[in-house]
Amino acid sequence: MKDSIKKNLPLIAGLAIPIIMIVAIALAVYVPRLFAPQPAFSFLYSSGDIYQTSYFFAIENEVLVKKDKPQPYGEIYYKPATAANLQLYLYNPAQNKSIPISLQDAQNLKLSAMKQSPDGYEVISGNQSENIFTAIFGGYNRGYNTQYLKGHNTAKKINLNFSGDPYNYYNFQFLGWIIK
Amino acid sequence: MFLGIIILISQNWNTLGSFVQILATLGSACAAFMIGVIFSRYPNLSGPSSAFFLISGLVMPVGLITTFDKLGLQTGTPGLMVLISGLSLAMFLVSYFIFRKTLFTLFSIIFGTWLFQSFIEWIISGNPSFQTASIYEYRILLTGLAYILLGYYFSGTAHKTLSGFLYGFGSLGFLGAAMALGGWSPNQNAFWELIYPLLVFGIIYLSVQLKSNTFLVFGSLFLIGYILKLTAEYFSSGLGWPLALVLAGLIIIGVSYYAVRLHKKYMSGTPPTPGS
Repeated sequence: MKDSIKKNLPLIAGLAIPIIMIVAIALAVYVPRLFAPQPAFSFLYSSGDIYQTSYFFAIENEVLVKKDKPQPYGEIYYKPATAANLQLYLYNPAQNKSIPISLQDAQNLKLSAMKQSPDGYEVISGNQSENIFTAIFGGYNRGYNTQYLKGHNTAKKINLNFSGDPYNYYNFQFLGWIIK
Repeated sequence: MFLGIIILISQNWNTLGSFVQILATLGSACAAFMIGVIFSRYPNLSGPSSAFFLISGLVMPVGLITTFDKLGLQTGTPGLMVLISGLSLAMFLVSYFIFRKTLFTLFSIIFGTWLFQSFIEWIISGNPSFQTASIYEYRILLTGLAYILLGYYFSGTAHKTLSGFLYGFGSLGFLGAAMALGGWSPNQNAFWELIYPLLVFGIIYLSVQLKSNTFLVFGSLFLIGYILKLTAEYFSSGLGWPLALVLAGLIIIGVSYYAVRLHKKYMSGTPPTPGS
């Protein structure tokens, strides 16, 4: 038995290395989720092609405001596309889903424009993952358009609703955390 | 033959129906495999048998991707890549245990590597915490290390023809990834930059122990690459650069001289086998 193991040790080691790495990465991804506190704060976001609208949303004095884009916008004279609109959504982390909300209801909320929530989470986009690895081994899943709640050494994918093209990277605009 | 099939199919792909597309790819792979099985029963047809098994191995993943695509599944996802690579690995691993051909071992290693990389990609897919360059580099590093170990194992078996391939790709991946992990000033990783010479000299030492030209060549090339990298990283500005280049050139000549000397002195006779 010992001789057999000694003789086959390079084979065992060669096969064990990738298995150990898979296990290590799986543990690194999933174990912190067990100890991370559940996200407690909802957030507000808008969806729509921000470059095709004549207005945008912002947080001022902890309240949502609707503002017209100044002319010229950036370096070009902006021509508003009147048909384009931004839809407001409220994401609930407890249910992991978002629901549309009217401007009037959204303006009754108390909001924080900070990138990070009071409990240490922030909303970030996934990586596009477009490289030779993903071309051969898969992984090109339009990660830029997927949003994650990142914090406490974890990053959890969140389910969001979008208006318009869900694969358009500019279709999501984080506005603020609801601090009531 | 493989190129001919691919070109014929790709030129007429849009005119073929779904069933014919599956037949042309997966069907071809299965047919080639069956022909290989039939030929393997005749010792004088061992060569053609391997050729058909090779065609089967090359076309099988294409056939599986086509089939899943026609079933409506999104073929670019890592989950499906795991499934395809896993099925291919299972098929050729079972084939190896039945037929004991070196070609099946080679395909098992290739599909096993694909499965490993896809599985990691599946676990971390899109996750911004883990989609970093380092993860890719570590994956290549460990794949290279596994290849080196497998190459050493096979050098003492009936599949020793695989050792050259495994040593070559193993050292290429291992040393290449280790160099990449060292980074570039000012964002260099001190640990990997400092340990790199040990790794390279380790590979060169192994080339003597195992009498492997592959290790000697890649070890020497990566040592030269490391010298050039350090020169470009730390001496490319100011008056020191030309002098550093002269010094680097002299060191490279020295490395090359000793590599040739090692080859002449040690690269003769049989390499040691595992367990000896």
